[in-house]
Amino acid sequence: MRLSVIPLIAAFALVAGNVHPLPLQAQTGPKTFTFGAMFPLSGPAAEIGEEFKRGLDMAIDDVNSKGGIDGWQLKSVVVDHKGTALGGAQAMNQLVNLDKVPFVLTTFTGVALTAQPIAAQNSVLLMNVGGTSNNLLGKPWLYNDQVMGDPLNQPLAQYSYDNRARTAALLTSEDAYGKDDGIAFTTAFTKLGGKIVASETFPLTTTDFTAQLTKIRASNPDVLYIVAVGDTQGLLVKQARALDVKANIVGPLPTTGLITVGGRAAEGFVGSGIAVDPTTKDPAAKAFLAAFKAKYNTVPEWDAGTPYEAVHFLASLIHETVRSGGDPRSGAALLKALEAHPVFQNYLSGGQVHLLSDHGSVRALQLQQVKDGKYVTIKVVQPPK
Amino acid sequence: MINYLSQILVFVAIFLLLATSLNLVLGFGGVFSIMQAVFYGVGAYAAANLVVNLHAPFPLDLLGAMLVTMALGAFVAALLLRLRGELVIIGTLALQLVFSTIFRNWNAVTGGSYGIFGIARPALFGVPVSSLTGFAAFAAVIAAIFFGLSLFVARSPFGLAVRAQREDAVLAGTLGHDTVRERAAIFIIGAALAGVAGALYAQFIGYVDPSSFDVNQSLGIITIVVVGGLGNLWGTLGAAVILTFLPQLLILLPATSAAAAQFQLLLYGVILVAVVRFWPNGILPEQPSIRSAPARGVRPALLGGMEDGKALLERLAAVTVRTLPTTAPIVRVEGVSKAFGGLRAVDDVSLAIEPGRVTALIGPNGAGKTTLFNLICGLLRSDSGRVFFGSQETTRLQPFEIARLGVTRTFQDVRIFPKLTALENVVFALSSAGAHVAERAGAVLADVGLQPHADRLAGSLSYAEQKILMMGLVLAREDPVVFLDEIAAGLDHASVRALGVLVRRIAASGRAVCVVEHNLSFVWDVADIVYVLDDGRLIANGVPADIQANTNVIEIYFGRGGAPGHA
Amino acid sequence: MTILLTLLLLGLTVGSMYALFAVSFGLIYNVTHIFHFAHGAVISAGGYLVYVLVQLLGWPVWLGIAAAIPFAALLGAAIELFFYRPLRRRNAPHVAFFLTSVGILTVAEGLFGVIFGPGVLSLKFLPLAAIHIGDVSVTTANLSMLSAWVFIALVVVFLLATRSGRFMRAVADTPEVAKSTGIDLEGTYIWSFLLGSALTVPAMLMYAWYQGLTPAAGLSTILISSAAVIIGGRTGVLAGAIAALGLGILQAVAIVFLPSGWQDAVVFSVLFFVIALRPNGVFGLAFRW
Repeated sequence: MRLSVIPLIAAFALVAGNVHPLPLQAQTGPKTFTFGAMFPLSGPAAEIGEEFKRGLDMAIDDVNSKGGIDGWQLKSVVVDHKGTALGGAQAMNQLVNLDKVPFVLTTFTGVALTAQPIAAQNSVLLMNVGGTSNNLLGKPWLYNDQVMGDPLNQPLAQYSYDNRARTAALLTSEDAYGKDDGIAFTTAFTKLGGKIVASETFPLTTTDFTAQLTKIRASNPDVLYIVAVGDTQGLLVKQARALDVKANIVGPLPTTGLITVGGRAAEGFVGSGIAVDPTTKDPAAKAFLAAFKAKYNTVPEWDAGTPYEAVHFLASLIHETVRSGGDPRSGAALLKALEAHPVFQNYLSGGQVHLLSDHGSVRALQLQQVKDGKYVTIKVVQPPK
Repeated sequence: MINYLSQILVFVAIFLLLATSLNLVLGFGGVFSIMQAVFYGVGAYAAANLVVNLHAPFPLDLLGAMLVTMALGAFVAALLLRLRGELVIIGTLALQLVFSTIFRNWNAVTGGSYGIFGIARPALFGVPVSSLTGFAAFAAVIAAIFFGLSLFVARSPFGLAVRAQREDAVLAGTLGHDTVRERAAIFIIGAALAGVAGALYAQFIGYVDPSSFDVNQSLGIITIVVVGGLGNLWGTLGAAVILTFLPQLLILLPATSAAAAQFQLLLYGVILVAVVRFWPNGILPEQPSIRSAPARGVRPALLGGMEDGKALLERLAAVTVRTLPTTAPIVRVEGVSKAFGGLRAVDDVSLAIEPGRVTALIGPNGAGKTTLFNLICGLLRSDSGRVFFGSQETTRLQPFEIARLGVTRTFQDVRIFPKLTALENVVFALSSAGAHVAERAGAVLADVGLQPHADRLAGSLSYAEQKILMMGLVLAREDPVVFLDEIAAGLDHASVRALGVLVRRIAASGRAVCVVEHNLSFVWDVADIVYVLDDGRLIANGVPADIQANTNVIEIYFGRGGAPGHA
Repeated sequence: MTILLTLLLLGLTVGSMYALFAVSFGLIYNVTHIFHFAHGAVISAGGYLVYVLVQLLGWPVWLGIAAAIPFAALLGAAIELFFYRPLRRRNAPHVAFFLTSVGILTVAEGLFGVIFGPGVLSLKFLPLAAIHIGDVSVTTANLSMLSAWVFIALVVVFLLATRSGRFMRAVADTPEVAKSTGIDLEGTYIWSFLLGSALTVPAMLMYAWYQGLTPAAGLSTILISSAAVIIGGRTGVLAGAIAALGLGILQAVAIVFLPSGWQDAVVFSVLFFVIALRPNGVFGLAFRW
C-alpha cells in the first residue's frame, strides 16, 4: 500500500510543532482553585467578551494579591462560546470534563440555557452574568447576576409610552435572547395600552436588514425595539436611519458597537441595563469604579461589573465553605454556601445584590441615551422592595 | 483526560462518517456534492424530532434518521444527477444554501434559529448511555460498523461499477451499466451515512441548531476527504483523526485560543490548497478493489515476461474465440436520419448486419460513420427511422439497455477506464455475467498476454497494450453483436493483419460483426459486405470486389481521375 | 403602494450592484471556465485595503480606491498564475481547481479574521444616509450602486473594441476554435483575471457602504455573483448582469409575500431550478458579450 508519506509528515509536523505541555492543569503551589468562564471571544459580540474578561481578571487579581481566599489562589479557564448556543454546549463540555471545575461563569441566554442541564447533571454551580431571558429563572444550579426579562424591558416600554409612543415595531435577533426579550417588551408595552404593528427577526450572522426594515418602515411605528449584540446593534440602527425609519429606537443592553458602527445614527437610542453609579458613596463600589477608571481610563459598564461581582461572590462562597469545614472544590458545597447566604456586594452602584427564590437578582436598572456619541444616564429605576 | 479524549473521539467518529459518506459520493462516484452538511443536518433534526417528540428508542432513532436522509437523497438524485459535473457542484451548492434557510425558518420541525433542546441520549438494553466515555464507545462502534459497511461497498462489484462510471459514464453504459441509477445509489448511500452522523451528533450534544449544517461545514468535510485521498477510505480515517485533533490544539495554544475560530479557518484553507497542489492524491491513493492471483502453478516469469506491444498484438490472431451457442440476431437499420442544426449527419440510411459475416462501413471523414454507430447503439437519438436487433426494436432504448441485449462496441481511439487496473477493466466488462468473475477475467488477460500487467492502472499501459485490453474486453463479453470503431487505427501492417484474422474469427464463431474503418486494405481483407457512406447518405453497398471497382466510391475517396496506384 | 415602489427601487439598485459583481465573476468564469470561488478573497482584500488606506492611514478616498483597483487586479492575476496555471499544466481535473479556489477563499476569510477581527468594520468615509425621492426613500449607498452600469458599460466597450477584449469573447464563445486560431489562451486568461478582479473594488465598496466589512463578506458576495452568472447563462457577461438585476428585484419584492427570513432561499431556489431545468441558463447561448 503506497502511502504518500509527505502529507502525513506535514500534518504531524503541524500538530507536533504546536503542542506545548498541556497548560491546563493548575500550576502547583499553594492551593489553586480553578473555575471556568464562558465568554464571547469571537463573533459579533467579541467586544463584550473583552469587557467581561477585564472584570474577571481584575477581580482575580484583587483576590490573589491579598493572598488569595483562605489560602486558595483563584485561577480561571476562559473559553470562547462564540455567541452561539452550540458554542456554549461545547465550551461547557470542555470545562466540566477536562478542567473539572465546580463553578462556571456564563454569559448569553442561549449559552446559559444549553449549559444549565450539563451543570445540573454534573453538580456544577453556574452563574450567569450576562443573559437576560426570563427562561433562565427557576432553573436548578443556575443563578443570575443580571436584570432580566421583565424588569429589563418594562422600563423601556414605559419610557416609550411616556414619550407618546402608542405603536411599536420589534426587530430582534433569531436566538433565545431576541425571542425572550421581545416577548417581555411586547407584554409590557401592550399592558400599558400600546400596540405592536410589526415584528421582524434576523439571523445572527446577517449584515443586511433591508427586508426587515422596509417592512417596519411601512408599518410606521412610533418606536422601534431592537435586540442585537455588539456591532450588529450599530449596523442595524445605521441602516434603519438610512432607510428612513424615523421612530425612536430602544433596546436592552446597549453596547459600544452601537456607537462605533452606528455613528450618528445611534443618536437618541435609549438602552436599559444594570445601573452603574459613579457617584456612589459605597466604599467597595467606589474603589472598584476608581480602580477600573485608573486602569482603563473609563468608567466600567455593567459587563465588566457583573463578572467582577461574581468572582468576589465566589470568593465569599469559598470562604463560607472552608469555614464550615467543607471542600470548596465541590460544586455541591458551594451551592450550599450560596443557599445559606444568597447575597453579594454590588460593585456597580453600591449596596448589595440579593438572589431571589427564582434565582434572579434584585438590583437597580438604568436607562441610558446616546447623546453626542456617548451614553448618558437619563433614569435610574430602583428595584421594588 | 479520559473524558476529554472521549469527547474528541465522538467527534472523530462523527467526522469519519461524514467524510466517508462524501468519499463514497465524490471519491468513488465522482459526484461533486457540496451539500453533505444538509444530510448531516436533516439526520440530526430527524433524530432530534424522533427522540424528543416520539421518544424513539435506539436503534429506531438512527434508522429513522437514515430513512429520512435517504428519501431526500433520492429526491435530489432524481433532479440533479443527470447533469454534467460542474453543474452538480452548483446545484448542490444552491441546495445547501436553500436548506440553510429552511433549517433557520421552519420552526415547526427544526425549531428555527432557536434550535431543539434536550435531546436525550440513547439507551442500550434499558441503560442510557449518559457517561462521556460510554457514549464515545457507542459512537466508535457505530462508526466502525458503518465504516466497515462502506469498505464492503467499496470492494464490491457495485463499488467497481461506481468507480467505472466516474471514469467514463458513457463507456460504462455501453458495457451494460445503468450509470444513472448507480450514481443515484451511491449518492443515496452517502446521504444515509451522513444522516447517521447527524443522529449521533444530536444525541451527543443534546442540542441542535442550524449553525452546524451550513456551507462551511460542507466545505470542511470536503477538506477531510481531499486530505485523506479521494477513493481511499483508510486515508479518510487518518484524515478524520488528524483534522479533528488539530482545532483542539488551537484551543490549547494561548496565542491562538482567542481567535481560534479564525485560525482554524486559516489552517484548513492552507491545508486544502497545499494538498491539492502538492499531493493531489491525498495521504493515500485509490486502491483497486480486486487483485490478480498468479496463474495457478505457473510462476509469472514463465509467462514469457513482458512482451512488447507489437508482439502482443500479433498474438491476437491466436486468441481463443468461443463459438456462439445460439444464433446472433440480425441488426437491421431502416431509414435512420439524424441532423445537427442544419447539418444532416446521417440521411435516410438503411442496412443490415448479419451474423457470421463482417459488415464494414467506410466513407471519407465526416461521412457519418461514427454517428451511425452511435445511433444504432443508442448513444444518439435518431430523428427518424428504426433500428432492430433481431425482432426487438431498439430505436429508443438507452445504451445500457441495448448493451444488455448482447452488444459490445468499441470507440474510435482507445477507450478504457484509465484509473482502474487492467484486471478491474475486464472484471467490470464481465460484471453483468455470472460467477467466478475474477478467474474468468484473469484467464482473458492471460489469453491476450496482459497477465503481467493485470494490476497496473490501465492508463499507464502503452497505446498498443491499451488496444489489446480493449479487444480483451470485447472477447470477455462474448456478445453476439460486436461493433468495432476504427480499431486498426495507429497500428503497423503486421498488427493490422493479426487483428484482421481475429475479427474474421469472431464473425466465424456466429457473431454479427460491424466495423467502421479508414484503413481500406484492412477492409478488403476482412469484410464480407461493405457499405459506403458519403455526406450521411449510403451511396454504395456490396462485396469488396464490387466496391473497389465502383467509380463513385473511387471518386469520393480520390477525386476524379481514379485511384493512385490503381493500375 | 409606496412600499412596493420603495422595494422596486431598492431591488433595482441592489440588483445593479449584484450585476457588477456578476460581471466581475462572469468575465473570469466565461473565459476560463474555472469556478473561481477565490474571487471572494479578492473581493474582500480590496475592501480591506481601501479601509486600511483611507480610514486607518488617512489617504484621500480617491487615492485609496485608485490604489486598490490595480492591487485587486494583480491579486486575481496572481491566483491564476501561481495556483490555476500549474494545475492546468498538470491536466488536473475540475475538482482540483474548485478545491484550490475554496481553499484560497477560506485562507482569506481566516486571515482577515485574524488581522481585522471578526466584527463589522464600518467605512466612515462613506456616510450612510437616507435620500428622499418624493414619497420614496433609498440610501446613499443604494444610489451609488447605480454607478455599476457605468463600469459595466466600460467593460462592454472593452470587450467590443479592444484586441484583448475580442480575444476574451472568442475564448468564451468557442475555446477550441480560438485555440486553433493561435490566440494566446493563457494570456487571455490573465487579462480576464485582471479585468474581473479590478471590477471587484467598486462593487465591494458599494456593498461595504451599506453592510460594512466582515471577513465573511467574500463568501456572501461570491455566492450571489456566481448564482447570477449561472442563471444568466455563461456565454456573455451581460446575461449575468441582467440575471443579477432580476435577482435583486425578485429578492426585494419577495419580502412582500414571504417572511423576511426566507429571502435568501429565493435566490438560491431560482438557481437550483435553473440548473435542474435549464442548465444553459435562462438566456442560454443567446448572448455574445
